[in-house]
Amino acid sequence: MAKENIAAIVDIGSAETKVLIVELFPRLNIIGSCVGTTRGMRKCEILDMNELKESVHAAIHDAEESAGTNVKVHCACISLSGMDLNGSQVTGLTSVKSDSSVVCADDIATARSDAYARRVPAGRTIVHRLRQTFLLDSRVAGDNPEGRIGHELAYKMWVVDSDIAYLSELIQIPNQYGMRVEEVFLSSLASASAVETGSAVDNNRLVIDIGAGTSDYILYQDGIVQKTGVIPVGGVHITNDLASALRINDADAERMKIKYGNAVLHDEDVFGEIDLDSVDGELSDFSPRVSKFKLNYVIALRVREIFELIRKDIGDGTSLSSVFVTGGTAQLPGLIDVAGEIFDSEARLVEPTCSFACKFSEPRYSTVVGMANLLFRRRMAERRYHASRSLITRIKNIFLSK
Amino acid sequence: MFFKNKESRIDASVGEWRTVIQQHVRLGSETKSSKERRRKNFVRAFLMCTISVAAVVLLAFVGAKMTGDMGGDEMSPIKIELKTDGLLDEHWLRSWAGISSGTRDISIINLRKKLESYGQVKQADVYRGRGNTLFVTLRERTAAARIRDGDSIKIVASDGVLFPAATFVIAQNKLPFITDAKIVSADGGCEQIDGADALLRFLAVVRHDYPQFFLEWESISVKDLPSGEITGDAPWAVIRVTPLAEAQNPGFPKIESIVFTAQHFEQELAILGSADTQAKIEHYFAESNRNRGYKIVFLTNRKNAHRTFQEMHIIPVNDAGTSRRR
Repeated sequence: MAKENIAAIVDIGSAETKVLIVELFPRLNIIGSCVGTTRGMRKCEILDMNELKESVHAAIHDAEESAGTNVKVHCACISLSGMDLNGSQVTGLTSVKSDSSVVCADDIATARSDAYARRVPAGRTIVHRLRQTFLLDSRVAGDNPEGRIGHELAYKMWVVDSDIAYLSELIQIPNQYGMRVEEVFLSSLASASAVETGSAVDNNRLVIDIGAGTSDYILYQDGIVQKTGVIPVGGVHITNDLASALRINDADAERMKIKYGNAVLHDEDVFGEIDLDSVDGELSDFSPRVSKFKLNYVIALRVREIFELIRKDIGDGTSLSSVFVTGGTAQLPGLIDVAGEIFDSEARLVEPTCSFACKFSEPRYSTVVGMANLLFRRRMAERRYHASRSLITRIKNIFLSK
Repeated sequence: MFFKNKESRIDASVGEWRTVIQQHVRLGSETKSSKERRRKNFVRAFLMCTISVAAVVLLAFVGAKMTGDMGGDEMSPIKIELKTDGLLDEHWLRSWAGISSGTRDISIINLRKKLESYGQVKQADVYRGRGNTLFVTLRERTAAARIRDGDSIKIVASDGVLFPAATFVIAQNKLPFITDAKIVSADGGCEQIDGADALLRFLAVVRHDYPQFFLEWESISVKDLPSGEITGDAPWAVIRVTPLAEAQNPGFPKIESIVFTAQHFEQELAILGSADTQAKIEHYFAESNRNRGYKIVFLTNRKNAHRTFQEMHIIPVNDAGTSRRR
């Protein structure tokens, strides 16, 4: 079936739904966009399906409208995050068959097929299979160990799986808007794709996307995905903490966080006070006031917790060349300093660097821009592959498959 | 799936969400936006259907019209639009080409060949237009003289080709007859006078430069005119012209013939057409015996090899061979 050239990239976050309408060929181009408020979802868990559908459909509809009346979108890509995701390393094993212990193409294929044959638990489905590396007698053998000598060949792969019910619910949202879901992308993978620098210096990088409900991370070692994960803490938790600690409502807490929040405590904060009714920061006599120290203290605790949890997840001994922090909450002042301190590495606030999305170069668009980028790459790879399949190759494949 | 093709032994689709989760794509009406999209899709589909139906109807109409027009080429009788620079008309064309009022189809190539086989037609262009109409354009030959072919009279065109006089009525009684000529078949099925180059040149000069003579001549004999090219001095190659009896002055003796040499007829015509000659003839006839017939001949003066000129002589016909020259 011919793939559609226009697709809707739908990133359903806990706070916002971001939709891009992209034209893939001849070159990747954003032709429509919309950012809408998400309702019916909290911390990437669906609370009210109807409300969620309503909000997501409205965002897609507005994006379609912005793309123009002639644009008809029939396929969509969605992002996946939340605690229903699980990542695990899968290893496929085989013994080298030749007498001389030289690895041949058959051994490689056997190791790979062994890895692919590993099943996920019942009720779960595979979202991504991310290639890692070959190991020959427990030594790293790179991408192609053919011709090397050893006895046991292992193929390592990082497999991300999701709960079938949760993914089905997400997929049916575009389905009920008349769109077929062509791809499902892991949020952290998409964010990493949007902010990648291409520099060898950043080969051992940790990319953290701090959203409203969750924080996704992806760890690269030598340019290869080593681990992915989701921490169920995000910007909303900071807001909730502020509301509880300062005894203010959520809207005020969100406003205080954005306007005055800082993840690093400063000495002068001890004496600082913030007027809740003030617009420009000036104090008035009769307005309720909150302590700036208390505000930042609460923020700092939660931010530290997020990074500590991630650090614990990836393991204390992991060496990192750099930490990329992106996502809507990443813009909180001082957050990068905390990340650098906890990971003991150079931390950077990164935003999408893709040339096609120059209007979306804010950290909160990392996932949706990265999804568009991944979709384009996948379609390009498919095109190249189909173009390279000559008639002779096809005939050969027919005989080989018998 | 994609990776399945790349390595046939690895089935990458096992356990993947694509194979596990069935998608039921439908445009529901659960949300406001999906309702709106549904409505828009319906309107768009309706418009597309309307436009498609309109386009199909339009195409069908145009197609039917074109088919009708083209079908008319086979069904309706042939109509003829004739353009000519001469005298031929549609009646002649239909009768010559065999196109009756009921004829519905005809070969254009054969028709053109048929038309060009008629001597009067120098060139014919034929093409078929809409509504089974034949557009025929003819270029006709110009009549220069007449000739008797058995019992029929034919017209000699300016290029020597013969054609029936029936279609050139306007010139039938005004053109002189060519006598003693040999008729041969030419390319394209026409007939022409054998070796008529000198005669045709003579006719062309007379018709254009001396029309007063041309109209007064009854016949032109080519008995002593060779059919091939005349080379060298050939005083014996002559064209004999017989003037019309009714064109001559009844009070003067009758000129029975004028003999032009084939090589110098232009000079001789000039002599004949000059005022001195006319006066000389009238003077001569005034003194001579009016009951006798005369002929006019032109002789070449060979006394001076560097300066040749023609001299006109009026010779009594009865004294031919012993005539007294003046």
